[in-house]
Amino acid sequence: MLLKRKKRIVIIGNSAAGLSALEALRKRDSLSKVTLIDQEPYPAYSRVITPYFIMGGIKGEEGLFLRDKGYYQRMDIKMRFGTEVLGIDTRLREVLLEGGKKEVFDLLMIATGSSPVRPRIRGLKNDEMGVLRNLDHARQLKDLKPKVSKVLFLGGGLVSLQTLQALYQKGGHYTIVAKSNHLLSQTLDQEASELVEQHLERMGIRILKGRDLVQVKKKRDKKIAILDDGEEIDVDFVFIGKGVQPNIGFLRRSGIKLKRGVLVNQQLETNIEGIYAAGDVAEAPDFFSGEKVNYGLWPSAVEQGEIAGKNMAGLKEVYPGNLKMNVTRVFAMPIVSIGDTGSKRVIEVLVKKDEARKIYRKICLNGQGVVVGAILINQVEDLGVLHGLIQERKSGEFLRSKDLWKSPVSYGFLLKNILQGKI
Amino acid sequence: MIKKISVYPEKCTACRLCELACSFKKIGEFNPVASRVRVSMFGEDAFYTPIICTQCDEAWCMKACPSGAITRDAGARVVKVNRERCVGCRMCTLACPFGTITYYAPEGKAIKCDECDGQPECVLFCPTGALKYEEESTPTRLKRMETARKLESSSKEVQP
Repeated sequence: MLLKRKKRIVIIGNSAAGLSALEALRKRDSLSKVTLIDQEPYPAYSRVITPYFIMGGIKGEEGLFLRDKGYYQRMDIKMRFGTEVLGIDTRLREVLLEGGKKEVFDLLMIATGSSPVRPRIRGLKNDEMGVLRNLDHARQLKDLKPKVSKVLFLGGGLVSLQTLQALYQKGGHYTIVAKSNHLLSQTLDQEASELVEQHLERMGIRILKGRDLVQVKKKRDKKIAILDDGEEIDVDFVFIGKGVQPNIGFLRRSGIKLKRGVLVNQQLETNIEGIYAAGDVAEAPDFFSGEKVNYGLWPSAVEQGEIAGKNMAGLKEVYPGNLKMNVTRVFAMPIVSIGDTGSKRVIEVLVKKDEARKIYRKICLNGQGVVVGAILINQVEDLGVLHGLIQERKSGEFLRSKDLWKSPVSYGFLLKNILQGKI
Repeated sequence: MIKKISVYPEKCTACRLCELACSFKKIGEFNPVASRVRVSMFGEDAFYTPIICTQCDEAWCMKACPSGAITRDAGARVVKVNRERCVGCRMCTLACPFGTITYYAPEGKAIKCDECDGQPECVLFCPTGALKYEEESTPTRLKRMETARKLESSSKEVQP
């Protein structure tokens, strides 16, 4: 594209993907006019660490903000924060904003993230459902924490578990209600989940699997949650952790191809030239299959944003693909899950279990012996090295030969094998 | 030229003085768990090597950090963890394929080598020269590139 005037670039979304796109772009292009739009009025903050903020582990809101005060000025951008995007005219190449305003663009980056799914539950209005996605939610939960001691968490995923730990107080009553037959079903296998469930139960958390919340009844100032089997539970508060959905409502009639999210190719470009998407809103190729997927992870959003930003600056970078990677802790128990740990691709597993020490380690290999996934509980020191092996599509043969489980797989072990020609 | 920590595995005897020196400098205790440098030991192959952060250009730990705690100052080479900002989520330890940023449980924070602001204690105490703080000379650089090539070609052996 040969332009005599300065390029006009619009980035919608001031979080992980939007910021890293902006930085990758500005490193290579200081001339283009860049506009950064976000629905929220705040400077960029970390969604990932909001549970720590609620818990009190971070000194105030300042600790959530990701960049210093002079950042946006240095980036030389036009800021439109607290502004809702209503639509995109892909023919005129305009972003339509609330109040009839618009921004014209040559290149566009869609990084609008996702929103919590709010299931319909009788007797529970939308604004009575606890969710945790943005700063306003985090503030509400922090204020609420001293006032609620009987909390029901609907959904057995990471957000429920993190929020549970953030709201947890001794003497409180906490119940997790999950439809699936084990917790963290998107992240762990049955055996690993069992360790987590036992750990939670030791902390006094009640876990109800294969169940659902159908109604919340109010009796004077008391709330009663009613489950699908008729059980009634006294609650102060209901938290919903049923996953997220990409924010694509404003793109419905834009001509940009959508499925669950915005479909992008390996360059993170949509079906329309010069329009990119990254982060939670995007469905990008999977690391293994190339199918369009969305795992909604912070590091993936950063990586995708960076590649989209480079491509907007004229490079031809290719995204290596969406790879699941989670590390979290549940009441001090570290839990790691990387890559593919359960599909048909997994042909062989190397497993170690230590019942007494509550250790579970599983490394998954595909038909060619390549490492494709790992689950680690309680002994997780080599998470980075294993992640590296998966990313590099290395053979796991050398893991088989060694009495691997005496100690974690260190980089030194890899180095030795590489120098000996075994990898 | 800028100095950096170089590792010579063939000189390492697994005495682990580097680990003790590092932890003593950082927390005032002889505790290898708190050490930013770790010695990998494989007795039957007589293979020993210190593993320490290389302060990579593409610092994956820094990119993955969701709390803005890992930074490299403008113009600097060393990547540092800001202890005030670190929440101990371990995302950086997942991102680093070398395992050179680690989670230190007693503090609940990530720790990594900061080259002791130009006076690395591990190098000072290494008796064999397996760890050196030096400008990268041409021969060292060539040797490094050779190792890098080996690593590179090994990763291409297996295709998905």
